[in-house]
Amino acid sequence: MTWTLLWMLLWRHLAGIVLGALAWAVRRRGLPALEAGRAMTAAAAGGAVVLLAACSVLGAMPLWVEAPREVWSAVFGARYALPLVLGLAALIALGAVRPHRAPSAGATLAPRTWRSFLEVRWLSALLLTLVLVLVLTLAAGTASRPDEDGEYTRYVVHVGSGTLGTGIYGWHHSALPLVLLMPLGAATWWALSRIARPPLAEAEPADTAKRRRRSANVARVALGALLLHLGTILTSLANTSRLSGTFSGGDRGQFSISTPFAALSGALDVLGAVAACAGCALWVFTALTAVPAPSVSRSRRSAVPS
Amino acid sequence: MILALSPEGGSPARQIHDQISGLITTGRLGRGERLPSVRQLAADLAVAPGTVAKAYHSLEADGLLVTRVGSGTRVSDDAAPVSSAVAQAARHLATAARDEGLSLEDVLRVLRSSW
Repeated sequence: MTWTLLWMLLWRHLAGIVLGALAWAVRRRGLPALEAGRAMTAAAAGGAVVLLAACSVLGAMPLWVEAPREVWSAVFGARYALPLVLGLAALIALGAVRPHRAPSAGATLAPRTWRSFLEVRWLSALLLTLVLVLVLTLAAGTASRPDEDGEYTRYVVHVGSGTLGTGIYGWHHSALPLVLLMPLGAATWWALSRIARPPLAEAEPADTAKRRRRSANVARVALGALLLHLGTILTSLANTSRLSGTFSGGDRGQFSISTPFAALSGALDVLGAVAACAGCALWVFTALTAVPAPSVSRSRRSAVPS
Repeated sequence: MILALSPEGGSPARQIHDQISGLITTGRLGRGERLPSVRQLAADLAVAPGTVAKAYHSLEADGLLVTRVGSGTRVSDDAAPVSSAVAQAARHLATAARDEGLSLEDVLRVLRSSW
């Protein structure tokens, strides 16, 4: 029973870890080695994955540990904001890395900005995911209604003179994540600016390649945070969509009521899982970029017959 | 293109002015091409921002640079003999040719045949 529950709570994270590790193993040979801030990168991204998984398990602790209802309510409610908080912390750690400054031959006359070493596809992916998060948050918030405490957490379906209701990712749950999106964006910009700011080294192509690698890591961490957050929203909406009730209509027999978007339940579940796995995979990939590339001399020695 | 300062070359602002002026008049910097910000160039050259600002101001006074709010400092349209597209294409060609070990004469032969 316990193992089954753990699997239900952690399968997305485990799938993301496997996916991230596979992607890194496939691309490892083509990627230049990350030299600056290896330990910080591994700790920031890897630690975020571990904490995320731990908090998922924590959400089920009421089954085993007695605590006030408010405590577990707060823990459960934090699941929406947690990926953004962990992503923010990881971005600050990545931006704080100060690589060793190689000798510079002078100043290049090309302007360097936060976008100089970031590929367009990363920027596009970040913007697209952000738009999806905002659209879903706005839609769910608009559909939410106040509960008995006056907090916008309810989704109701009117049935004659009565209503049928369930929880939804309403304004109460989305207020903090919406606020956190701003420092997440600011931290992403800051970390990318820190990478671009120092003068280029004398070995310009090598320095440029290193900066592209570090900028890609920053983008992966930010995108991972957005995808994980998107995953929690989609999963929550999937749960909301499953609201249904059967009522007696007297002489007319029984009838069922469900949400207008009940047909999307399966798709929302799948998309939520995909987003969560992808977000986790991006963080795992980032952590693994800190693993040193295999040395050439070792591979040559192994090729020589004894 | 690399800008480098030497201790024997006179005042840093004068050196920056002369080097950028030379790059513009020889077509290595094209019309409308954007230059780094005062802050970035000062940090790269390890000089005070005021030194770079002085050089930029004197280049603007000479009609070689134009500064607009929001679009930074750019080479004046009237100053450079070539557009930024031609200048960038020439730089790419020079880099590619050097990487393949070609001489200037080889590159000129290729250019003449493509003209």
